[in-house]
Amino acid sequence: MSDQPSGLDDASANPLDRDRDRFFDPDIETASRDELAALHEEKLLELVPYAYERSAFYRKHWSEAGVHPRDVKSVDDFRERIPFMDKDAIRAFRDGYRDPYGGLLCIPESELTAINSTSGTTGDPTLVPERWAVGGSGPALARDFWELGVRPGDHVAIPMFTFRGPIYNFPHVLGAVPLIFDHSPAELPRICELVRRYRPTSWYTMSGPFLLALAELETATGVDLADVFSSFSSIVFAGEPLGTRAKANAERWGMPLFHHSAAGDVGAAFECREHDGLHVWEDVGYYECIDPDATGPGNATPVADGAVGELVATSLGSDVFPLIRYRSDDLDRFTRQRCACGRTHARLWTLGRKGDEVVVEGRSVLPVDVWAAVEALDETAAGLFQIIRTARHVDVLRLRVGYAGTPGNLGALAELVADSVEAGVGVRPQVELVANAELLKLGPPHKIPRVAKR
Amino acid sequence: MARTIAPPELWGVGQFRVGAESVGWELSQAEIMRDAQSATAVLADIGLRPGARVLVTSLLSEASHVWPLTLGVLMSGAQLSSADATPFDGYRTAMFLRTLRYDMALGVSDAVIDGLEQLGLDIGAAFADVAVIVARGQAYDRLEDAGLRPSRIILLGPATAIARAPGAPAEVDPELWGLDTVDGEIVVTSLTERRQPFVRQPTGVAGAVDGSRVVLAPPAA
Repeated sequence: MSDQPSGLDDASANPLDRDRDRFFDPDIETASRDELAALHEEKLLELVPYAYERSAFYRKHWSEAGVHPRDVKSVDDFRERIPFMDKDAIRAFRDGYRDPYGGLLCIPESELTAINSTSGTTGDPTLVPERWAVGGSGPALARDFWELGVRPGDHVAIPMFTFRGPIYNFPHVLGAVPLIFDHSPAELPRICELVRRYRPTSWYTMSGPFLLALAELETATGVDLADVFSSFSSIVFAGEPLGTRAKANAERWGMPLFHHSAAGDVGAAFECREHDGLHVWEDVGYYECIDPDATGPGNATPVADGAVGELVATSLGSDVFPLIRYRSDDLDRFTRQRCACGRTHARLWTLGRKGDEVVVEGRSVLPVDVWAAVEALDETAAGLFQIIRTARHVDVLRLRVGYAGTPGNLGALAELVADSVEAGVGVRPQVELVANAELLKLGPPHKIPRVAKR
Repeated sequence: MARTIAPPELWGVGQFRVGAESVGWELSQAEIMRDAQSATAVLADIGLRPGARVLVTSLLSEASHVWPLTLGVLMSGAQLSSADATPFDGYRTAMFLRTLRYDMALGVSDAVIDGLEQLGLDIGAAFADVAVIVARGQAYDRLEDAGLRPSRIILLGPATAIARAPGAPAEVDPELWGLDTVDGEIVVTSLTERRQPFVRQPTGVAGAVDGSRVVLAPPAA
């Protein structure tokens, strides 16, 4: 390998202005709300009869609700008539009819090129059948990473997993080169070495366990992480909320963090450089934000713009496996107000999963509410914890909390954690302490399950 | 209109392993396509046909070896599923094997088998319906012990060696790689133009060579 990595000269000579030239696809990224509404009507009215003709799930599900595609002549009809569905409904159809695709596959199975899967965060992963062009991915992430500063000649660090397929090819659409790693703390020394060599401008993705492992690496080796991260214009953080201690470390190392989340299993959501919510692409998905307690279209009141609700998503870009009025279980604050960046598509702020909420003494508690209280103590600063959720309504808030090192008196530490949570959340929990390493074993390398049934 | 930008000449920077050590590896787009064409031929030799379904278990850091194989699967007209070659992701591998019929499992490793066993699965039963199993490391022996007939794949430094049949020695594409040994360690030399050429590159793999074939040394007692 030459001493001078490829691309650095190209990057330094890049004529494109990263600050002024912010849109990868300006026509669609800045389309007016009227243009987006027209696009939604066109695509939804194509999608409904298409899915009804080809999907056994939708024929059954909609027939049971007394809905036929001929009844849907407008977006209002779509919202008033088409019933919701969720992951449990897909699993039930899959198991009941022995159809691995849950009745959703809309093309002949022989036309598929890949059959991948969801993350499985909330249970058994479900299949995601796809049809690719040979050679890899399209511009799915290009708009977001262009805004985050990736330009031709750049390098992009990609510590990820394989379950989404060949994700490492997406920088090519931007003329950039991937540096490919596992999302494993064991990779961090090598990542630091190659980052110093190639000086990438973007990182996809950073996680809480990675930030924790970086702090440990810094302590153990004295590595200058401010230098390691000095070349980045963006580091995409995903998986779960960013704790205050982790955030402080990231700031100390000069990490330009941008939050990222899935958007109802239909698309992805990324912060732009305004750091004012995560953009979803409304030409890829039709997004609604409804009363989380709605039981069907009849009482699914859309929440006011900027209010918190449950995200409901419909695929506009998939003729293979479209999700239609898919209840994500995600609680988000949601707005369609134009962003200061100039983009017109909706933005959201993630709060947590509806299925993670417990109600104790009439008070709603989500993992994000507990986070800061757990992190406040040195012994539990890693912010590793689980809410024990035997039911939505519980008499006592039970927490399993991870600790570092070898605290002398675990009983006293449990009381301190309980004090901290009570002060922050307003409910005194029962606290079970376990070593951090034990909790980290429960999850994939980028997060742990924040809710456990026992 | 979305921008249209030519892909970079450099496909990416991956890695290969020499024992426990990781070595950075730059590959061009042209190398990837050449390796993919080679992989397509090998996959056909071991029975991959259009319409077949292949489960690939790998790590993302192995992309420099795996992406050419993946392209080979796609160019063969076969379907692809992916799971991490980690114990944790065993639940995903188990889900795929339980839910769909696979004609080939490519890259089965010790970590994959550990993950399946941690779920309480019988390995022989889990892979019983998979016609072609291509395994690496000790996974090969564990699958044989379970009564299966795997073929062997070896990530041989930057090269990939695959056996054409169960029990046969793994072999590299002789147009792409030359093999030799130094003090009982297999070394590889790239025979085509590469962005990062290799001359007698140590691989950390002990054994002997017979032309393009690899004869692994028995594991140390």
